[in-house]
Amino acid sequence: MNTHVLEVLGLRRSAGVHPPSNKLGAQAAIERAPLPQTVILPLQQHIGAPAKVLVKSGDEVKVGQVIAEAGGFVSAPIHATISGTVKQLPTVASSVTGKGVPGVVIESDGKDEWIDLSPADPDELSPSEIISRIKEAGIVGMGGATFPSHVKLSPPPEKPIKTVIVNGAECEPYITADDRLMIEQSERILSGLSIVMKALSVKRAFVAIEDNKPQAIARMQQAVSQMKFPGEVSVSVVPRRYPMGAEKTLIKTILGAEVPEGGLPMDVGALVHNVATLAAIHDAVVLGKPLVERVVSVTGLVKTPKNFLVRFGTPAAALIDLCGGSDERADELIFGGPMMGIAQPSFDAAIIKGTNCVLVKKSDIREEYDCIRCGRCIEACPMGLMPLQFVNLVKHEDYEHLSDFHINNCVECGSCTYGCPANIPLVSYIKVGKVELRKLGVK
Amino acid sequence: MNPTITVLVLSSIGFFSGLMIYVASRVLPKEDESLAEAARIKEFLPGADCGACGYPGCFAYAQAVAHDKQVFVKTPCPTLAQDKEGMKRLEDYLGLKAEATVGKKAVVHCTGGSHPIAEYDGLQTCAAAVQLSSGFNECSYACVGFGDCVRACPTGAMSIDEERHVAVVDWETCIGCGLCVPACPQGLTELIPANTPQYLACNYQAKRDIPGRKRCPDGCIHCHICEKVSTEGAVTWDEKKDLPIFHVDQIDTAIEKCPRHVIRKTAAYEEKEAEAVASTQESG
Repeated sequence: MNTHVLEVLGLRRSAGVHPPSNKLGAQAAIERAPLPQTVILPLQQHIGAPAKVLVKSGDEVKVGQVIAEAGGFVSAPIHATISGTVKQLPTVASSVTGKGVPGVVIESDGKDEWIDLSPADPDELSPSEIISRIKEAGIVGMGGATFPSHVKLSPPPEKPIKTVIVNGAECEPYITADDRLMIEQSERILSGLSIVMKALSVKRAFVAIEDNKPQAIARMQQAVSQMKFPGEVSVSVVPRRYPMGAEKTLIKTILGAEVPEGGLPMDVGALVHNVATLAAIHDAVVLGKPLVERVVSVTGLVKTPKNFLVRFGTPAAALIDLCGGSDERADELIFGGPMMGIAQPSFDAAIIKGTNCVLVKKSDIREEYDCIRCGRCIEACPMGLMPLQFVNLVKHEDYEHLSDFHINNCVECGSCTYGCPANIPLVSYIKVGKVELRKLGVK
Repeated sequence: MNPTITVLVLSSIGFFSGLMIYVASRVLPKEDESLAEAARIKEFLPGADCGACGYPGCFAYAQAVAHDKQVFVKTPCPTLAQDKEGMKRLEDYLGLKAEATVGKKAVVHCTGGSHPIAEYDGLQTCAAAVQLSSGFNECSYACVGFGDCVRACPTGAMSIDEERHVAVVDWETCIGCGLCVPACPQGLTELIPANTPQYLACNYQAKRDIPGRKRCPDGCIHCHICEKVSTEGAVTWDEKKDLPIFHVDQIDTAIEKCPRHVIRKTAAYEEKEAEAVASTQESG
């Protein structure tokens, strides 16, 4: 337990929960995973419009070649992650929406030939050139939400960004990908940060790291003191509490500002980027390298939990084999952490831009009882909502009143479900409620 | 206080109130006759408050009929239309004859033939289950069988086939209210005219094919044979879904020729058959 003294005295409200961190792979250095034979790339790996396909069956592609262009402003292009031949253009299940979206299947030729990269010196680029390089590289929020990064970097003139927060909180249990990235590649992250600060002429930045990652804190502090930035940068150690890494919680903890309902961090002059996103921004701007790979933690009931640098489209089963296979008790595969991750229908599910963790676990199904109105979900909710009301309303199919309780403020972090003594899957109810409310057309 | 005063004050209040009620009943206009009439009409209605007529319940429909009797002639209560005797009683009461309308019935475009690819232990409702990669069956269009439609149905016409985990409709009790249509997150329930003799028990859309998620042994393979062997206009093709649409014509050859036998006969088919047999017997 790592509770603030004011919380103990009841002077500060501590929303959120303290699940055991289980950072099994925290000491495992990042390894490069072998190239997959075939990759399946869904053309929607981000929030927003699906990308529009540019290749056809039989085309030869190189690594980094654009295979689908952005389908709108809030969208991102998709690049080939291995060199080889385009085999099929099927529809695949999008791990973002669960619905069918177009996809591209590429079969490897084993050569791993890259397109010609165009490196650049970020000091010589104008802000708009930087943003267009980020957009062309197909960079999206790699903490899991997959919001296209160039949209965050293009605020309207009336909402200037004053502070950049680097999100290295990694509050979800098990996940160690960002932790390892901070320890091993802090220069890449900070170079990405200085590019973002330059592009938006921001003078202040915080690197937020939870206090359970002493190695990463030390490494980042050292790197910050050694590098030059266009403004003031400091490492901010935040208390270990879930969901500290949620954008809105982080802004509240560090800046003390609350993002208004339905608003974005830019409404309070803040911009939050995950460490992996910043590393990718560095690659895109300095090296001209599009987003084709990321660090993924493979953890849970595997023999040796590890962190891999993986090309998108690699099946999860291949990574689990590299960790010495899974335990015989394991029967569930989750992309993301245990709190917010999404269960996958098969072990062959492919890694996409937002997959930060492959969690193998034993399913833990508990019988659901009736709500006893203890209010633990209200205490746990980091957004200050009343989750039990959503469950009641969804159970009674009274969807139009969900907006009275501000359901759209819910970040689906799962803190309410974690502490519920009646084992009610509150987030599942809330997700159904959000879908039904959208059908009714209530904003 | 003197009890006599209390008694006197209370009695005078009572007397005064009584007087006011008497005056009001004399001076104020009488109760709206159409309300009483609506209450009488409601006695003939089924009372399921299903909303199939388009009014928010049986009493609202009765009020509409009490105001304008033509409402009954043009749009007779679809539930009552199932029950010939009940219909006759209301027709006799109103002294009117309802126009014969073809009601609607619900069908489920799925046979439940596809197998699960993963175990689902989440929230036991269809709406929650389909949010994880369009359900947990091989076919991503398939019925997930948690019965959101069963809970929506006001007459108990919907049920889940325990063996195949698929929703089935009993046309005898279905009143065509359409409450099951928005309830299905997979979009499998549809209202079709009650005299349609067949429907397609599949919703597999080839143009949105998902690899690794195959169609079931019963699934439509989009071969267009039903369209080719039927008379023109009996079967049209939904290009968007890449699936056939059947109309009121009976298409026996297509039902027979369908390689997947996925065209299902409805109760209307059997009725038509029985009528045809009866007419040949009469002429013979």
